[in-house]
Amino acid sequence: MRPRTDRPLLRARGLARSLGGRTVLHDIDLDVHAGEHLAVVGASGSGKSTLLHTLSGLEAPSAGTLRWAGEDLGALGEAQRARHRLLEIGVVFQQFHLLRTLTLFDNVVMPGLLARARPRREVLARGRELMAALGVDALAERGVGEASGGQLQRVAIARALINRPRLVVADEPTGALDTAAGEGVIDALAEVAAGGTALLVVTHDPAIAARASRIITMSDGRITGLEEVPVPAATSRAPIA
Amino acid sequence: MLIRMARAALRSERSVLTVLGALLLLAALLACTGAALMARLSGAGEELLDRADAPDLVQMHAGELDEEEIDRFAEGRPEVSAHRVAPLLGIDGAELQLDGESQAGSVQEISLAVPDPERDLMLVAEDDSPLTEVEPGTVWLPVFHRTEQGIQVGSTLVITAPDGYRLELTVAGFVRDSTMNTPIAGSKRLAVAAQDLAAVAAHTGTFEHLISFWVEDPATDIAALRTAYQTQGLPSAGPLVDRSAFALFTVIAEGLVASVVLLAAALVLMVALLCLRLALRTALERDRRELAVMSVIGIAARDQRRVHLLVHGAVALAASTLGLLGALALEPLLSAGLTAYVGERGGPRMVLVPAAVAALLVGAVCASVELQLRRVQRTGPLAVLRGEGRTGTRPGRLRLHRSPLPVGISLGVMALLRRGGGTVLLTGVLAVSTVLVMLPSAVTSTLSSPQFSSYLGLGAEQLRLDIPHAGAADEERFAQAQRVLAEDPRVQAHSARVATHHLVTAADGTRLALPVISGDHVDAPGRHVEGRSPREPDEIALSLLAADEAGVGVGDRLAVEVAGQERALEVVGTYQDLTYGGLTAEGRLSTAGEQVLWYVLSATPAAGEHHDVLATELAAALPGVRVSDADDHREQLLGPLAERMRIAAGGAILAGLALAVLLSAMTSRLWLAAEAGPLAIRSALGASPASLRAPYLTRMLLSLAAGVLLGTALTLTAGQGLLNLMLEGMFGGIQRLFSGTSRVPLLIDPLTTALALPLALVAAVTITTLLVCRRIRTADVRTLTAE
Repeated sequence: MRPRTDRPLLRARGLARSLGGRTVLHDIDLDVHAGEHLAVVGASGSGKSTLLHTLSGLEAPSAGTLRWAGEDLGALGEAQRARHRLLEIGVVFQQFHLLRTLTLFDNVVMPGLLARARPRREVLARGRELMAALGVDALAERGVGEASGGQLQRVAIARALINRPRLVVADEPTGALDTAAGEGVIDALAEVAAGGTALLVVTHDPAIAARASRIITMSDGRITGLEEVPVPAATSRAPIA
Repeated sequence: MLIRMARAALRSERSVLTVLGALLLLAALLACTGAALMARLSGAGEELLDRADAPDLVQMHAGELDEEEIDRFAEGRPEVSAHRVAPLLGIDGAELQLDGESQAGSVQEISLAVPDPERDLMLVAEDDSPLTEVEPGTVWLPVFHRTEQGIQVGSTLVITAPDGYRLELTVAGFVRDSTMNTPIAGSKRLAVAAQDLAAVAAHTGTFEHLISFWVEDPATDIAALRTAYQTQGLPSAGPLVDRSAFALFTVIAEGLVASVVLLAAALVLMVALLCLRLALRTALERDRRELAVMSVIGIAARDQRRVHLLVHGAVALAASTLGLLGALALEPLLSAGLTAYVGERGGPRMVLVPAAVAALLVGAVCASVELQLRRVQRTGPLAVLRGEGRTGTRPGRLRLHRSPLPVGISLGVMALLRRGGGTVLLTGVLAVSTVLVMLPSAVTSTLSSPQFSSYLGLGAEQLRLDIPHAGAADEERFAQAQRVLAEDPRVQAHSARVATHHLVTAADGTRLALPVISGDHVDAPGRHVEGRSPREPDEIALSLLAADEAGVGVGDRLAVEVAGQERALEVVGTYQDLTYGGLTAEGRLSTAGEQVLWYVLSATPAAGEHHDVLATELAAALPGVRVSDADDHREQLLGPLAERMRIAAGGAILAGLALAVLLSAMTSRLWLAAEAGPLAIRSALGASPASLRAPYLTRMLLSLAAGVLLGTALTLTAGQGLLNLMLEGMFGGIQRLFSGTSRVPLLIDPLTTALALPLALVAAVTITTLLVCRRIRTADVRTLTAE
C-alpha cells in the first residue's frame, strides 16, 4: 500500500443520488487516495453499484460535490466529463461489456485510439503488452463469442488500463465467473493495485474484499462501516501498471 | 391477454405507428385511386370506338382526289368491309371566332363536316346517341371545346372570309368524335348542316378528305392494309392513322396519370413496407429479452406474433379503409377528363377493383410482419437471453486498430460493410429518392430547352412558314412566300424546302412511302444523331423512325423511287424527328414531276426585329401560309407539357426529400435502438458525444453518397430511357414504344439539377440524422445492466 498524500485523488462530500423519486444514496463522504485499494461490500440493493457509478462519473449525483484532484467534476460540461472518464478512470463491469463487433484486441485499444492522447503505435504496443501481462494475448484476433468468461474479464481489465488511468472501478468483476476464473481475475486486479493505480471494487466476494486496504460497508444507501485492513501479502507476479 | 399486450404495444409505439399509418394511408389512397382509374380506363377507348363505329384505317388527304381510284382499291382488298370518302372543309384559325375568341393561336386544325348518320358516328355527349342531322344555322362542337375552352350550348361560332363573308352559327350541343376526340389529336371536326358547309366553302376554306376503311375481322393485319394503301400511289397528302392510335389518343392522358399514380403508390408502399420492417426490428430489438422471457415461461411464439399482427394489421386495415374511401372520392376528379371524352363508365368494378387492392395491401402488411417475426424467432429464447442471434455481432474483416480514421468514423464504416443487406436496401431507397428529386427536374429542363426543338425536328430557324400542298394555288403561295421573304429588308436570311412523296424499298424488300424533304438543310448542332445532312443529290438522311422502318443505317444504301426510276441513295445521317409522324427523310432531290406534300420556309429576322410582329405581318401578307415563331411553336406544342412537368417536378422534389427524411429518421432510430448496449458501453468508456454520433452519421452519409451516385447514374441512363419511351409513346403511339426511334439526351442543368438538388438531399438527410442522434448524450448505465 502506498502512503496517502494530503490531497485525495477523488473526494465526495454530501453525495446523494435519487432514482425515480427514491433516494438510493444518502450523504456520502468519501476520499479515494492515489494508489489505494478499496472494496465496497453490502447486501443487494444497498447502493454499492450506484456509489461506484456516481464516483466514476457514469451517473451524475443528485446532490453533493465530487472533486477530482481538487477540481469540481460538477462544473465540467458533457464532453469534458466524457474525456475525464476516458483518461482518468478505467471501468470493469460484471458482464464484461465488450463490443461484439470488434476483435478482443480492438476492444482493448479502442479507448486509447479514442483518446488520441498518445501516438497510435504506442497505444497498440500498450494493448499488446497488457494482453500479454493478463495472459490473453493469444486471443487478440478472436471475437467476444470465442473466449471464456474469465478471459473476457481479463480483456476488459486490459481495456480499463489502456489509457493508464489513475482510478480503476470494478463492479462485481467476478460475479459472472466460476471460482477458478474468478481467482484469476482477482489476481489480475491485485496486480493492478500493486502497479500504483487506485482501485475501487464493488463485491460480494470476501476473498476480493480481503485484498483491499479499506473495506467500506454499505446499507440502505449509506456508508455504515469503514474498516482498515492490514497490508496484503505481496503478489508473486509483476504488478500491472 | 393478447388484447392487453396489443394495447400496450400501440401505446409504446405511438409515434412510429402514426408515421407507418400515414404512409400506408398514402399508399392505399394512391394504389386504390390508380386501380380505380385503370378500371375506368380499361377498354374505354375501344368501347367508344365500337359505339361510334369508328374506321379501322383513315387517310387524311389535302387536295383533289379520284373517288373511283379509292373504290377500286377497296374492292381489291377482301378484308375491307366498307369504305367512305368524306369531305372536310379546313378553316384557318384566324377566320374562326368561338364566343368572340379568335382561334388563330390554336394548334388544333379545325374543319367543318356534315355528320355521317351510318358510320364514323359523332355521339351526342349527353346520351351517346348518334348525331344524324344538324339544323341549319347551328353547329355541334367536339367536347374538347367545352372541356378545354369552356364553350357552352348557345355560344356562337363566327366564320369570316377574306372577301368579307360572315356566318354566325349557334352552338347546339357537343359531340364525342371518336377519331379526333382528345386534345392530343391535333384535328377537330365541327358538325354543321350541309347547306352551311356549302355556303362557307364558296368563300373560304380548303377541302380535305377523310378516306376511311372498315374491316370485318378484328384480327385483320391493319399494317398490311396500310402498306398496301401507301405503295399503290393513292391519295396520301396527310397523315395515315389506324384504330389503335385513336384508342390511344383517347386514353393516353388519363393512362399516363393512372400510370404515374400507380408508380407513386408502388414507391410509397415500398417505403411503407421498409419502414414497417425497420419499426418491427426496432421494437423486436428493444423487446427481444422480454419476448425470450415470455417464451421461457411458456407463452407460445405464435401468440407473440399475433400481438404484432394484431397491432400492425389494425393499422393497415384502418389506413386501407380510409385510403379506399379517399380514392373513391378522388378518382372521379382525376377521371373527369376521361368521362367528358368517353362518357360515363361505372358499375361495381369501380368499387370492387380498388377494394381488392386495399385488401391486398392489408395482406401484404400482415405477410411482411409474419415473415419478419418468423425470421427473428428462429433464434431460441435462451440464445436470445445469452445475447446471441443478433445480426452483425461478429467482427468483420476490417480492424479498428488498422484504420487511419477516427474511431467513430471507423466504426461507422465497419458497420456499413458488415451489414451488407441493410446497407444495400438503404442505398437503394436513397437512390430512388435521388431519381425522384433529379429526373422530373431534368425532364423539365430538357423540355424547356431551345435545343429540344431541334431534336424534335422543329429546326433551328427563328420563323417558320408552313404551306400544306393541296393544289396549284399552294405552289403559287410557296413562290410568293419566297419572293416576300427575299424582298423584305427585315428578313436577314431565308431558306426553302419541299416535301415530296417517294416510295422506298426497305432492307427486307417491303415498300413504304416516305416524304423526302429537299432543299436547303441546316446542320444545326445536335440535329443529327449520327452523320449529317445530305449535300449531294445521291445522298439521303433519315429520321430514326424511317431508318428503323427501312432497316438501314448510316453508310448503307436505300433504294428510293425518283421520277419513276429506282435510285440507290447513300444514307449519310440519321436525325431525331417527331413531326409528321416522325417518318421523314432529308434529301437533295429534284422536285419536278413529283407529288408535293408540303412546303416549309425558314426565315431569320434581321437584328433588332421583333419576331412576333414580323410573324404577324408575314401571316397577314401571305394568306393560307401558317407563320409561326419557333419559340411560340415550341411553346404551343410543348409548353403545357413542360408546365405540367414543372409542377410534377416540384411535387417529386418534395416527395423525394420527404422520403429521404423519413427513411433516415426511421433508420437512425432503429440503429440507436438496436445498438443501445454498444452505445452505452462506448459512452461509459469515455467516448465524447460527437464520437458516439459519428458512426451513425458516417453510415448514413456514405449510404447517401452511394445512393446519390447510383440515383444520378439511374437518372442519366434509365431516366433518359424513360423520357425517350414517353416521347416515343406520345409522338409515335404504342406501336413505337421501345423502337429506339427517340434518342433525346437529358439536358441536365448543372447548377440546379446536378448541384443544388443533391445538396438539398444531403442536407435533409444529414440534419435528420443529426436530430435523431441528438438523443445520444450520456451513458445510461441501466442500459448496460439490461444488456
